[in-house]
Order: sequence, then structure tokens, then C-alpha cells
Amino acid sequence: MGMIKAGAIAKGTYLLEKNEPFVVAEREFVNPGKGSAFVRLKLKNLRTGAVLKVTHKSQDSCEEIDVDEIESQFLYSDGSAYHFMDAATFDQFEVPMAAHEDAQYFMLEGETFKLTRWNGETLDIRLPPKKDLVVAEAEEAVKGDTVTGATKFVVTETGLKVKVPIFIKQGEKIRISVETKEYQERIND
Amino acid sequence: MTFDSAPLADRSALNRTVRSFFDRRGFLEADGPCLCSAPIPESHIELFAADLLDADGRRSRTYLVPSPEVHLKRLLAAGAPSLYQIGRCFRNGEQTDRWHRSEFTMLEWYLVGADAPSNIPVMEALLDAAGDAVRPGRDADVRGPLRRMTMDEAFRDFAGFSLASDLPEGDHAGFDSPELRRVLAGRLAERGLPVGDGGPEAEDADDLFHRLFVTLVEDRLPTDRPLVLTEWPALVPTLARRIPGTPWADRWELYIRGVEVANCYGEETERSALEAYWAREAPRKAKAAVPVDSDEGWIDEVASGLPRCSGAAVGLDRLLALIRGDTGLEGLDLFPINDMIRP
Repeated sequence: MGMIKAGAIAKGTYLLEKNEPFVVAEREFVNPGKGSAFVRLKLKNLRTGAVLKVTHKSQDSCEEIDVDEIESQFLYSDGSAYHFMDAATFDQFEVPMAAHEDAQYFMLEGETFKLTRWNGETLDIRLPPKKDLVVAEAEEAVKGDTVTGATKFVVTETGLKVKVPIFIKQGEKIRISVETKEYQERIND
Repeated sequence: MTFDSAPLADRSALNRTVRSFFDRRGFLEADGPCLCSAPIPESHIELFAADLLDADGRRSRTYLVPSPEVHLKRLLAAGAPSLYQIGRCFRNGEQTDRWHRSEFTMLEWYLVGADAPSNIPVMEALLDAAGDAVRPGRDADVRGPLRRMTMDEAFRDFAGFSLASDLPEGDHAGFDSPELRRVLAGRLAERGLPVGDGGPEAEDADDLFHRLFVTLVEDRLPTDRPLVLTEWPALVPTLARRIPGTPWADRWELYIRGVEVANCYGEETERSALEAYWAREAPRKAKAAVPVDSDEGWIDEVASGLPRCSGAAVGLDRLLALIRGDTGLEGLDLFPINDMIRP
């Protein structure tokens, strides 16, 4: 466990606040014209997914969590937990879904991910910034509908419902931003 | 780099509007220097030092101005009428992010014979003129009429307690006291909020106040219209005069969409109050990351002649970005400092 000045905290920093592990989801620098500098942090609890807003003076010390990273294979999800296998030791373990609900849309069975661990507890699943997924369900485009910018909803192979341009068909691969869960482009393999 | 004329055209429209706005009202435009030898000590602002060399290579320490105040008040004390200046200002140790840059453009004006409330209609008319020039038909949240709220009302509405009841009465109450620290630290503790590494005793009253304000109030202020937040606690050391018989300073700040855009004082002109400010801030500046020897000669010059007046400072880059509907300064920052610095 190391101490970090609040002014040096970045998005993605792991912090211990009130004995709970958090990751910094957003940070904003606040500098009142006639006062000390502050940072406003939006933290995600890595056990419950709950969001906590805290404000620190830039000079305050915060507890940074020293995390380990391991490579693990995603096996399956049972609806309440993800099941992984440590790629080095072949040990199997569970990660509760509550704090990482969105991960279900970006992990395919058999894929390998970096997991962040602390005291034997998995804190975070490191997802890539973008993920290419196959469209499992798509409505047919309405004939003659050529309005530019027209959109429709499709469902990916992982169950994510996403708004896409009208020309996207079932079976095609599309690129999704993991942070916003929004369509970015069609992928032609 | 691809050239986009909009940022330059928008800025040019704003600068022209500001100049004609103040020219029509009889203000003189000042053109104070960027370098100064003895800045006003402000412990929360780090400065840029710049060494001046004479022909023999001897060095004199100068600083880039953090605001034009040091020069404009000397002009006013010497007998100048109402003044304004559009100028580059420099603040060191800032983090470059959405709304912060180390170098920025400030509009500062002084209305002679006025207190801070008299400057609110000026701010309101300027916002309307600036909006009409840059983005006619812009959103209601960047134009008048301004919403007014006192700091005490803001604390009662958003923090759930009256700040007035915590503050010392009397015209001669100091900036700080152990009792005041205990009361403000208690408010933080009640809400489970942090008080810093050394505990409440190690923190100044103004830092404790700002912890409460930034955490409980500032990001809950209404954003549907520009907001003027008036009557700041006199415990925050500034050159705003105290409103007699109250714990408040004659000061307001303008927030647009929750972003701090302007700061205004009814200016302190009493020698004893200027000296008290200096006595608190000068020793802190001497120990800053960029240490500064403050020159008390400025007090002599200003206290002997500064007329009753109200000064307002506007972050013009922020104002312009907000009128344009931007969510930060990136769109106006053609030469980002982080791109210039080689690691």
C-alpha cells in the first residue's frame, strides 16, 4: 500500500477509501480563483459497483492500492459470477458480476484477459478500449429507406443491444467502444 | 495542422465587442506590461519567474503577471478614471485540463465610485453584448438575466446549514482562529469528509471553507442561467473590502454552466486592511515553489490614492468557449502547451 498525493491521481488509479477498493472513473481539477487546488473524483467500488464522489485537496495523501496483474482465460458466466482460469497455474476462480456488469458484453468464452488482483481478490477486469463483435440479431432494413444517418437496433453475440447504421446485417462484425458501448464502425474481415 | 478560422474569428468578435462595450461607457483601455518586479502576494497562485538581463549581464528577478491588478491599481491610485484591460496572464503549477491553462487571457475592469453589486449590471450587459456578437440566438444559460444568490443561501440550499452562524461577527475579526477552524472542521467531520493529512488543526480556515464549498456546494449550483454568487466569507484572504458589521466580503463570482468565469470585488482601500492582508500572505509567498519577495511600497502607493472602486476579472477564454457551446478550452487552444513540451 503506497500513499499518493491527490493531485497525482489519474483516471484508472486504484484507491482504498473507507477500507473499500475503488477505481477512479473520472477526475476533475478544481481550482477556486482565491483558494487551494482540489481534485473531484468519481470512484467505482470494485466490490459492489457503487459510485462514490469524493473531493480532495491536491496536497491530501490518499491510499493507492498496489495491484498485481495476472493473465486469465474467461471460461463462462453463470449469471452471478464470471468464471476464470489462471493461465499460469490453471487454478479456477470466480469474479462477482455486480461490480463488472458491462464486462459480460465484451468477453467471449475462451478469450484471455488481464485481471487486476489485490490480496488474492480480483478487483478489475482489464477490457480493451474497443471490441469487435458479430451481430446475432438484426432487423431487415426497410426497403427504399435511404435517409442518411438512419439507424436501427441490433443485438451482438454477447447480448449487447446497440444502435447501428441501417446497412448493418446479421452475421456482420461491428466494432464497439467498450467505455460508451456505442457502435464505431463495420469490420470487413 | 489544418487551419480553421472559427476560433480566431470568434475571439476577434469577442475582443472587438469588449472594447466597444467599455469605450462607449467612458472607460479607458490600459495596456499594462506582462512583466512585473513585485507582484501582489497571493499564496494560492504560483508565479512564473523571468530573469531580466541588463547590458552587462546582471540579472534582475521579474515575474509574469498572474493578473493585471498590480498595474491597474497603481494607475487608479494615480488618478486614472474607470479602466479596462485585455491581457495575457500566467499561473504556474496549474494542471492543464478541460478548463485550466497556465497561460490565459483575462479581461479586468475597474468601475470607479462603485461597490461590487454595482458591477453586476455591467457584467450582465457585457454577457449579452458578447453573446450577440459571437453566437446570436445562443442558449439561455449564457445570457442575462443573471440569477443572484448569496453564499449563505447557497450553503443553506446545498450544504444544509447556514454558514453565517459559523462565522465570527465584528468588523475586526481576523482571517482565522482556532475556534473557527474547529467549527468548520466539525462541519466536515459531520459529513465524513476529509480534513487533510495533519488534521483540522493543520489547516487554515480558508482551506476548510473551500473544502466545504467545493465538495458540498459548487457542483450543485444551478446552471440554467448564469449565476452570480455574492457575499463570500471575509475569512478568505483577498483584497475585497469587508461589508461593515458582517462576516462577509464585498465580492461576487460568476458561474456559467457551473464553470467559474469571473471574480469581482468592492476593492479594499484601507491601509490597515491592506497591511493585514500583506502580513498574512507575504511570508507564505516567500516560501512558495517560486519564492517572491513582496514589496510593501505598493501598499503606500495604493492606500494613499486608490479611489472607492469595484474591479472585475473575467477569464475570456472560458467565457468564449461557453458562448460557443464548447465543453472545454481545447477548441480555442491552438498551441497546446503539452504538445510543445518535450518529455
